[in-house]
Amino acid sequence: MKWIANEGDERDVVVSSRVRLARNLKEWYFPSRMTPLQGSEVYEKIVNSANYGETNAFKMKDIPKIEQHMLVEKHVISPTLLMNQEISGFIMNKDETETIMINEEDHIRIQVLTAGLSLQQSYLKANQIDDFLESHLNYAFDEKLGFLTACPTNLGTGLRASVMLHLPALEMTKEINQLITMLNQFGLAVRGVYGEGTKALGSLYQLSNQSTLGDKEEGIVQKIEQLCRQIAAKEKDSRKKLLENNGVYFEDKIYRAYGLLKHTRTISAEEAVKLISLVKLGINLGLIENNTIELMDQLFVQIQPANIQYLSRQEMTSDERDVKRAQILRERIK
Amino acid sequence: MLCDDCGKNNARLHYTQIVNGRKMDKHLCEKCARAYSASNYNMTLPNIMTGFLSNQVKKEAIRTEQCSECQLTYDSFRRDGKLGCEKCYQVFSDRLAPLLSNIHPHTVHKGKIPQNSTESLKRMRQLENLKEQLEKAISDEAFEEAAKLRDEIREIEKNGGGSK
Ligand SMILES: [Zn+2]
Ligand SMILES: [Zn+2]
Repeated sequence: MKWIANEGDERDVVVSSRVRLARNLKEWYFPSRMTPLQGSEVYEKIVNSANYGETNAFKMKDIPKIEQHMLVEKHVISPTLLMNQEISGFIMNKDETETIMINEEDHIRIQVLTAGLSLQQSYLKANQIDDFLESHLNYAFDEKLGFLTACPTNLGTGLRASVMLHLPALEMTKEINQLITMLNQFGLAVRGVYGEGTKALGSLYQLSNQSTLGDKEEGIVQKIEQLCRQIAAKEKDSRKKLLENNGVYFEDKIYRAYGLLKHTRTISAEEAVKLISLVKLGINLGLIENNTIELMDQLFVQIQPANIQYLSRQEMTSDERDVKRAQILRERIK
Repeated sequence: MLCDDCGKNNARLHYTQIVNGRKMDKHLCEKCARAYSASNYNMTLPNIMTGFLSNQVKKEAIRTEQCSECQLTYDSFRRDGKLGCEKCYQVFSDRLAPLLSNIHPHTVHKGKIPQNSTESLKRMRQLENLKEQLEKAISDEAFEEAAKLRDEIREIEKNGGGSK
């Protein structure tokens, strides 16, 4: 959770920014077609090419199950990386902001994850790592199609830039639907971070570029960052208006959530995410003191199943987790 | 009709391939066809073999069409959306073309290129960048800058770079 502790731009609305670059090595089959032997050869090749700073390399199969899932919940690695256990692994820096996933869907997935709105900076960092790797490795590349990826949806730049947004007010005013339609027209995909389909649990949305081919990296990143600034301004404006127009009813909603979190004895992850979201909104508006939005962003992750079990150093049933979750929330929320 | 490659034997086979968005037709004799399919163009066997295959056989062949390198079938790609190797992009290019233009609004890469790219690609990119800067300079009415850029572009073009 170290990345969350960093300060960031537009932190009121933008939880985090993530840039991911997909690359493959020339003359090797993509991971899904590799034998275990080829897979570990590629793993070694990449690890040996990646001594660009203070990093550690991990083979997936050496990491305990709960810890694997904990890392996924922290967004440090992708769920897909767990599917190729036999050959997959990752390289990570100390503060968990930079990850190179190996033998995920592609041989290489460079990820830079930072708090707040910082896509352009994150891209620069990812680009540096990419340059470093490329000075030791040959990439699969085509002049017309760009960087070749296992899935044609990542072809070209291999760049997926995404931003996690907290948009409770735009959701309450129902402006969110119009916003999503507009973003889709701009070529951006929007989905809920937690929950299925169009339901975005805790009003957390992930926004990312749909197309990876035909635009320049800088352009993709800039466009999303500009849109996010506009969305952030709109969200903040709606928050103020909600408070002004609904006064006591709006406050009641937030203080009830706060009360529940401070006194609950057993709670599901789903309910907890919804309530943390409301308390975060309360902090944003100055209604709730002594707590920070950084803490709320941490809690979104730390109340997830694998994180709870990792913290307790044991496997737990769903009921046991609910009790532990309540305890964590009571202790952490002031 | 004579074979496009050797010009001697009668063309028996007709291939259609989409290469980088351009449709290419080839009429070949059996001997050249074998060489063609073995070459890295990797012709897609069942594509269109005029008069030789019944429709049903054709369909079956398309499904089992395979990458000569990694052996991935097109059917398998259709199932889980993943290609098996860089060569798959050539082998299945005609079938991927419409798919790519569905996903991506432009189908030619404009972004980063590897450091070890060919000189001609690097030069082409450099020209594109300079031309973009030139346009911007003109619209900003920075004429001195524009003149400098124009000279630079001419210089590169004179030195044999940048077709188109
Ligand atoms: Zn011939
Ligand atoms: Zn292949």
